[in-house]
Amino acid sequence: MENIAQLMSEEHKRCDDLFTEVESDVVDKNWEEGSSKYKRFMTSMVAHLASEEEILFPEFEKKTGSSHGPTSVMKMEHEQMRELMTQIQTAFAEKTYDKLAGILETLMMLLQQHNMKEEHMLYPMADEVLGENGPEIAERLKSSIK
Amino acid sequence: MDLSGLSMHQAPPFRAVYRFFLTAPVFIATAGIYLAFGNNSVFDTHISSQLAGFVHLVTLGFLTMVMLGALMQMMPVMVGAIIPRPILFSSLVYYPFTIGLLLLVAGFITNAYGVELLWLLLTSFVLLFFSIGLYVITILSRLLGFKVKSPVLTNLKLVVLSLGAAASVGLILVYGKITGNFFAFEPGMLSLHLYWALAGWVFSLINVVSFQIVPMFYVTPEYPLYMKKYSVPLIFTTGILFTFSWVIPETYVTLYKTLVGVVWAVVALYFSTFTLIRLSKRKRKLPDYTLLFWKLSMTMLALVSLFWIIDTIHPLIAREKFFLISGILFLVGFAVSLVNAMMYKIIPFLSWFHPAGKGAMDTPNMKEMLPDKKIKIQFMVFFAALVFLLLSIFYPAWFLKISGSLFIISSVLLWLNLVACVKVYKKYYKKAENQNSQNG
Repeated sequence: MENIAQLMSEEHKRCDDLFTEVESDVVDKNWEEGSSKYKRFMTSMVAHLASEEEILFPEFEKKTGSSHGPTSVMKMEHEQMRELMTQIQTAFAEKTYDKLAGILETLMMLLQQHNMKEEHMLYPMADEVLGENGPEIAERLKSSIK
Repeated sequence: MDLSGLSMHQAPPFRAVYRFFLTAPVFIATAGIYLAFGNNSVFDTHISSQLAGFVHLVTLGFLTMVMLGALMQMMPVMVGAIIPRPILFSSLVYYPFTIGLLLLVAGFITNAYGVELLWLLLTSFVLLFFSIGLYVITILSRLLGFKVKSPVLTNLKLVVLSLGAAASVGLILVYGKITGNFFAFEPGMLSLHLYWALAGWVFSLINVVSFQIVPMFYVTPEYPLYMKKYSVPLIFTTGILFTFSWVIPETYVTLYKTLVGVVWAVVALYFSTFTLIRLSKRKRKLPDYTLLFWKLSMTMLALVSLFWIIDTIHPLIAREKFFLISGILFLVGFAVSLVNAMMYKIIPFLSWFHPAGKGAMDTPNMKEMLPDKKIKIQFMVFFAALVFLLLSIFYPAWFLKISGSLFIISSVLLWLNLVACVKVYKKYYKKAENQNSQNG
């Protein structure tokens, strides 16, 4: 059975792939195509962030007894992502290439460094502290994302 | 589970690290001034005080300066280790390092003009040793706190130890200088200093950092585990064996030294080719001009390691020229380009990330503060400077001044580009802080 680290890291990869497809369309100035792919990416992202905030982080905080630790930093970065994703939507509507390219680059960096912290630290820690409940929580995460 | 010491904050505060990044280009500019206004004899031989002055401006002034800051910045993201009291720590490292380096270079240059100012070297070494020693011990003590075993932790420890080794051998060399004959002092010591500084510190650290940032910045697949696990320990172990080579019979020493060089060259050739292939397969189509620096850097590393391997089998060129060409390809072609590229990702991102984290979501994005065009222009000037620098090994009278002038321009452009980002950071961070305090 998959553990949390494997499942969620796979999810990151899937979102990255959707994101690079959006970027390709922006580079080719395929606004319609890009915009609809962007919606698909956003749906995946929103579900991913929600699954962490509603399932994974509360369970983690219960076990570690702290909501001011790593999860609070992750949640803050989620907020930054949501804000950038809204900005991208606006830029798509305006069809401004430079603006869009700049926000895409910034979001990509934010996502990548965030993913790295989660994949290398938070998820393995979660698997460890959640112990035998881990697989069950992984299942819940999986069904909330799909 | 013990969560103490584990942080996912982007610690430390930005100002604790950007001072390192903004000072580094000033030293490359100084190296440029040195070439442009010197007496054209810096490349006369491969061992001289003049050359040592130039080399240390590049290795300590640019490469190490940036790496000291970058490592502080990346440790929390890479392994979750934070440094307590980051501003104080950063100041205790930064000021002695910068002043010590200036004195060291002054010591070398005055020596090249026949002035013996030993107190310069002595004072510089006290300062540099304090700064590097404090850095190495602090980072190691933070890393040793982790019970988990991971390649990146091991690699970081080895890299920091190598910096300590390079500095220690440097101390012995300065001692040799003060007590007697400068470079006549045990030539083996100089090779050791070079090995620990260039292979153990610069090359290995770039490996560790690349393993993390190539997949992250360029969205490529991860490096394979065997590279992460074995390349840095291999370089380190070779260094240890090299250090203790005095125990082996003298007849074998030359063969042994050759082997050490070949081990390094093979690891470097593999790493550079592998990275080049990875970068060429990157999925993102969004133009990224920092890739120009990466591709140049990896091509230069592949070239120097290939040059090294072929020359070992069949000597191609006079020894002096061989070391000069290798040195420039490695230091400027490979290391300086890569560090330049790295700063172009880290600084715009952090300049956006810190204010945005405080709530200033109107902070200009990365490309708004540092447009692609500016990166491209600086790259072209830098590339030209590198080409002329290589040419000046053969025709110093013609090309040294051109190369030096181009390095000055390139570093000024780099500095301006970085300062533009930090200015955005300062403006929007302040704005966010004011807003937050108004909202109570």
